[in-house]
Order: sequence, then C-alpha cells, then structure tokens
Amino acid sequence: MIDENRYREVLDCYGGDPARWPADVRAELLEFEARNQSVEALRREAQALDSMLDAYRPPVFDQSEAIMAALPSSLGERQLDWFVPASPVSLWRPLAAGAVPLLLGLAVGLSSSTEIVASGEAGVWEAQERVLLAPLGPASEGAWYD
Amino acid sequence: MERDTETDLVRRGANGDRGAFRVLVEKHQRPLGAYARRMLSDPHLAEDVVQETFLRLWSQAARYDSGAARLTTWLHNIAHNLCIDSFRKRSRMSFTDDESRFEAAGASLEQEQQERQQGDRVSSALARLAERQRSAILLCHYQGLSNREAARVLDVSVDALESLLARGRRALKKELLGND
Repeated sequence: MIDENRYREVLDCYGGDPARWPADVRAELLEFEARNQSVEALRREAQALDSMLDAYRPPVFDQSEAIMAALPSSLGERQLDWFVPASPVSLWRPLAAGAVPLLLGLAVGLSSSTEIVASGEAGVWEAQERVLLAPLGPASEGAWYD
Repeated sequence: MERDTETDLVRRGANGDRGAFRVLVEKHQRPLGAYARRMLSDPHLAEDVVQETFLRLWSQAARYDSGAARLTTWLHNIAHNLCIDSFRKRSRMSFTDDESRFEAAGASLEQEQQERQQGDRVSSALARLAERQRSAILLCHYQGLSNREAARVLDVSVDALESLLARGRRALKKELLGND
C-alpha cells in the first residue's frame, strides 16, 4: 500500500520520472499521485534535480573498431586472456606471457632430473662423462678441472 | 533485441564468431562508455575500462548465464569492478574534463556554454559523492538499470541500494540546487 512516506521515498531515491520508478509499484504510485494533488510540488522538486543531472552528457566515442582490433585471434591467446587478463596500460602481461615457456621448461627440467636420480641412472651419466673426458687424462690427476 | 537473441550472440562469440561479437560490441559499448566516463571523469581511463570489459566478455563468454542476469547487467558488473580497480590505482580523482563537449544541435553558443557549465557542476558534484552513492545514481539515473539490476551490480540488497540513492541525491540536491 502506497502512502505519502513511500511516495516521498521513491522520489528521493529514483527522482521524478515514473520511468525510473520500481516497475512493481509504478502504477500504484501514479494512482496515489492522482488522488493527492498536494504531492505535485514534491514531484516538481525531484524533477528539478533530474534536469540538472541530465545536463551532464559527456561525449562517448565509438570504440567498436578498436575493441574488435584488440580481440585475441587464436585459441591460445584467448586461453592466455583467461589466466592473464589484458590491460592496455601495463607491461606485466607480455612479461607474464613470456615467462610461461620458461616456467614450463623449468618444471620439465626439474622433474626430469629428479627422475634420473630417482631411477638410479646417475651412474650411467657418470660413465658416459668418463668416456668423453678420457683423452684429457685420468680424473685422479685433476687434469679435467685445470 | 530479445534476450534469447543476445544469448545466442554471446554463445556464438564464445565459439570465436567475430561477427556475432561485433553486434554485441556495437550495442553495448556506448552505454558502458558513458558509465565509465561518468564514474571516472577521465575519457582515457573510461576507454580502457570499456575495452577491457569486452576483452573479458570475449574470453569468458562461456561463463555468462542468461538466466541469472541480462547481458547489460553482467557487462555493467564487469565495468563497475574495473572502475573500482582504476580508482584504487589513482591517488586522487581528476576533475579535468577537457574533452567535454555537448551536442546541442541548433542551440546558441551561449546556451551551449551554459549547458557545459551546468554539466561541469554536475560532474564535480558526482565526483565528490562517496563511490557507492555515485555508482548507484549512475546505474539507476543514467544507465536505465532497474533497482534489482543496479543492486546486483553493486552486490547489495534493494533496500541498501535505496539508501545509497537517497543519500546521494540528497547531497546532490544540496550542492546543485542549494536545498536539503
């Protein structure tokens, strides 16, 4: 049920244009207004502020082409966008994107070396190293590291 | 545009259909630009916000649930959060509005000047409001969102939204019209 308090509240919140009033009470508010001519002044006051606000119309330019041109084209880029959102004012995104292969390489490298040690293959590597370095002389003479 | 059609365009956009995505961009970029511009009082930051909003839509379109909200509400939510991020990055608000110009076809130079001055006053008054009061007024007055949609963007109840609106409009009335 609409009374003057609720009518005032709606004007205070949404202003004097019925198009901006909550849809579920708009008809009741208009009926209340028709029955109570005394509230006209309240509506005019709210409309005065609306008119002031409407005077602020900053220019908005068409950005469609720029937006379309900035869209990532490949699936990979779209997935990258998901993890590392693009920002036109920062450099960290390309840096982060460049770091992805490095991190992957590190991860693969670390897991591979762990596997070799874990599987007891270290001895094989050592034997191959001895064969390759044999022309330099025996290891005990320290010739390898001079 | 019906919600079903728009949902279909979003779905096609999620599958990489640029033509479908362009339709969405052309429909929503100006209202979002106006919102960001009024929120940030800076045309360049506003353009960045709009561009980033659509990049997010492009990369995350599959997450859009048309049953939960209209696309405009979803996009306003993204743009609003980007505006808040932008505020946090700035040490203080800029009130400069050097690119302001008002389309007053047929209006005299004097009238145009008057409108421009009035617009500048409103811009400054809005910029001085608490951020959530400003957001509430922009969403309901300028963007044409319903009270439920605006409350959703701000992640508050409708009662809380009405409280923000009432306080914000009271402050504007005092500053712009000189009464309480």
